[in-house]
Order: sequence, then C-alpha cells, then structure tokens
Amino acid sequence: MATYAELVKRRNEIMTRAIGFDFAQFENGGLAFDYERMMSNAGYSLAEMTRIQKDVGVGDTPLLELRNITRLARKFAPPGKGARIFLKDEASNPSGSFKARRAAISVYHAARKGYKGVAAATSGNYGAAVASQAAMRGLKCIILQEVYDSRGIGQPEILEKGRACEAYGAEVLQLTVGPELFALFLGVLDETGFFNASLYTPFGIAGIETLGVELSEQLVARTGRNPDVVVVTHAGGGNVTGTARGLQKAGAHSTQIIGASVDLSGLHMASDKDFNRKSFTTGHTGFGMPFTTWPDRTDVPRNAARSLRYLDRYVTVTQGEAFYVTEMLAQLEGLERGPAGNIALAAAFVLAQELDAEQTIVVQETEYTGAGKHPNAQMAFAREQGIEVRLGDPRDSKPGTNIIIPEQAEQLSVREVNLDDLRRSYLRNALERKNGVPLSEIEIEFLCEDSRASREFVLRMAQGYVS
Amino acid sequence: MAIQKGQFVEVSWAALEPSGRSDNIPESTKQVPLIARVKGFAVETTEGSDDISIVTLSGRVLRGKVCDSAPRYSHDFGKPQPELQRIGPTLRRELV
Repeated sequence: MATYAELVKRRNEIMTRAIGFDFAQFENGGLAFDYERMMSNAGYSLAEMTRIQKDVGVGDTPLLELRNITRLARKFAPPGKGARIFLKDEASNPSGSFKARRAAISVYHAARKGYKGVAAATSGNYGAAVASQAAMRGLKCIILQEVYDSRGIGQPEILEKGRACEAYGAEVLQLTVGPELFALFLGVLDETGFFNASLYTPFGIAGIETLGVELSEQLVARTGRNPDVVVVTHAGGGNVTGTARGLQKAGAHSTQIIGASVDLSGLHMASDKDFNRKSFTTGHTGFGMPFTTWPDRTDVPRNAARSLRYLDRYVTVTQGEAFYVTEMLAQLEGLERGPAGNIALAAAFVLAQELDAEQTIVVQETEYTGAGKHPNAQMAFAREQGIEVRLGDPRDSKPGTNIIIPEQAEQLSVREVNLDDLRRSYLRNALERKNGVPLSEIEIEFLCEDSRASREFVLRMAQGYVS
Repeated sequence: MAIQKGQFVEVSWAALEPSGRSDNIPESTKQVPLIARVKGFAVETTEGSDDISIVTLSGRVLRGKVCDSAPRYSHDFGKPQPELQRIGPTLRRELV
C-alpha cells in the first residue's frame, strides 16, 4: 500500500473515482456552491427513494405514542403543559437503525453504477446498515472502524457493531485510535475500486428525507396536524438535515427542529487516553460541534449534511440522563432500545414539559439494543475503566470522570447551545479560508443561507477579517 | 502455534509506526503505533509465529501476525446496575 502521505496527497483523485460524482459542477467560486442544485441533481426524487427503500424493507416504520412517559412528564410539568410524546421506531429497519435509509440509497447507487463493492469508514450503526444493504444487492463490503485503544481494549458498543457487520458478510478492518484511519480508508478504496458509501453524499443524506415525510404523514393521520416539535439526535448533521428537508417537502413548515447531543465536552476525540472514557460513540458533541461549525471536513468535497441551515434549537443532555431514559423506556413502555438512539428521547422528555398538553413532540429515532450497547454493558465497562458511576444530580456530570444517574425524573434537564455562537464559529472558519480576500456577493449570500444568519450578521463578522 | 488451512483467525499489523503518525494528534496517541486487526481464513497450514496470509470476508488476501487463533465475540450485556434497577419501581409508583 502507498504511504500515508502519498494517499492523502491523492485524496481528491481517489475520492472522485470512489464516488463517481462530479462535485465541482456546483461550485460558485470560493466559499460558495449551489447546495440545493447539488441535492436535486445528485439525489433521487422522494418517490424514487421511497420505492428503493420499500424494495429492501427499509422505512415506513411505526410511530408509537409513549402514553406512560407523557403521563409522567405531565406530573412534573406546570398545569396545562406536557405535550404528547411520540417515538419513531427506526430500530425496526433492517440492521436496526435509521442509517438503513441512507445505506439503502447509497448502495443502490453503487450497484446501479456497476461498482463491485462498497466501503465505509464508520464505527457506528451505519457500517451494519451498509453491510446489510450490500448483502441484499450482492455487493462486497469493507467497513473500517476505530475500536481499540493502545492497550487493546475495545469499546463494547463498537465491538457489537463490528460483529453485526461480519454477520452480514462484510470484512471489518478494526483500528486503534487515530484520525489516520482516513488515509487507510483511501488505501482500501484505491486498492479495491469499491464505492465510498460515505455518510455525507447527497444521496445518503436525501435518504433520510423519507423519514421526515413519514413523520408528517403519520402525525397528521393520528392528530390531524403536523408535529409541533421534532427532536433529532445530532452528530454529523445528516439526521437533522434529512429529517428537516423531508418535513419541509411534506409541507410541515412550522414544525420546530431541535437537535440533541450527549455532552462530551472536555474529551478529545483523537486521544488514545480519552477513547474508552466515554460511553457514547455517536450522537455527541465531539461530532455535533465541529460538524455544525465546519461541515466540509468530511471525506467528500462538499458535505450534504448542513445542520445550521435547519436547526431551530440545539440542546445537550448528559450520558447518565440518556441511560436513565433508556431504562424508563423499557420499564414504562415495554420498549428495549439502545441508549444512543434515546438521546433525543432524553431531551424530548424535558422539552415536552415546556409545551402545551395539546401539542405534539416527536422523538425521531430509536436504535436496536444488544450486547455491548446496553446501558448495563456500558456502565459496567465505564466502571472497569475507572469512571465513577453513581446516583446524583446530573449537573455534577463530568464527561470522562463520572457518569451520574439521576435520582429522580425531575432532575432531567437540557442545556441550551447558543446557535449564534455556532454561527460565529462557522463564519470564522469560513473567513479564515479567505486569507484576507474580501467576500464576493455570491459568497455573502451563500454564507447567509449556510449559517441561516442575516446579512448584517455575516458582514459584521467579515469586517474583522479584511485587512 | 499451528494454524490449519481454512482456520478462522484474527491477524494484526502496525499500519503506522509512531514516527509515521499524523502531526496534529494528542501526545498519548502519537506515541503508540496505529494497529490494524482483521479476521479471515488462513490460506495455508503454518507453524510458528510469523506473518500468515488470510482471506477476508470480502475476499481480499491480507497478511499479519495471528493475534487470536480462535476469535470470540466477548462483548456482553454487562452486569445489572443498581442505579438503573431502581428506576422502574420508582417511576411506576409515580404513575399509580
């Protein structure tokens, strides 16, 4: 295999061949590109995607009303408050998560374009989703995961995902901690000629739009109205982007989109030391913050997941609160689901208490649970790594040091992330790349859309960067 | 240790030595090699502890040192956690 440095140098050439899609045609000069044209040209139509997904048993998942959890929330809410809480059971997809929607379109695309195999760099549910779809379409599959620290200790949740990929017949390349995984991924693509089933292609992101459409249709059928609030687990931004676009296409223009992440602030995502000191490998601020403030940091030239365009609010919850609601969901609603898929539920339980009782709030996903994923497994693992696990006030949580399980449901809360602060970070990241060259009019318009900021906001930030 | 042709094993190798690692990563990560592991079927019967060739589940032939001659999925459901066990009974009392 070529050296790390050689592969990184050839990344554009390798990626172009591995995605078979010309991103350059949408560039408008400098920072700007035509996002909507990219999404409509590269994506499949809603009707096509619905058909593709239906063919492979993906989508059309149940919408469940959490009556007992709603009742509980109403006990703690002020009089007249406590929206009806609904849950979109994405765990019922083949491979057990909403990622099947993305994989269904990506792998369909690869098969149609004649690729012999697909590859993805992911330690999450997406790997199993891609492997499952590859099995259905008769394509080979290679998944690269970051699993082990330098002591050879594997994060149990990622071990389970590796097992699932192997169960579907995929080769799973498991690595110790390090961002150089990307260079190895380039090497695999280069050597095999497989399709890069990246999480961030237009067709992958568009695959989630069907989820947003279903949410609208199912809520209207059940309640006569579109949902008031949809809470979406936020990490790389695909979930938020696809769901919001789907809701908009279904005409749900006043539905509020709230992103939710587990707070892992203080932990470094490339640190060998920190790697096994966290209990969540996705749906957390370690992805949520960087990807919101600079989407184009991915393995594709332009990231189709652009969450600042769609987020109305962004909140965080603690690891312990996510474990708490996972247990609550099993014990009060008879639904045993994985904790990462319940991050949005932890937020929704709190947010429901702010809303009126006649309003509706939807938790956009669930994931399957299993060995390694289950809170019992994660908390036992945390204890073994020297993390302090105890009952207490979630506000005393310190990621990497402790996991605090609330003593009472009333202690659950959400922490607000200031979206204007994220807009400022995004604009700083953009302006740094201009090297003092003034913004063109097209770039100003693009930045306004991409960060959902006013012209005044963007120009004020730009003033600090022109020499 | 003898490995039979066709035996399902796990092999590993150093994909990057510490000297070859990326510049902007934390010290704790920079000081250790980047190790890769993969499972597959041994191409031929071998003795000893040198590198062997395996065929992976995608059909590639890769080489590495055997790190596990009988791979097992050892991740499990953990242990019951007292902090979680109290949640069900407590909340059911709230809803009565």
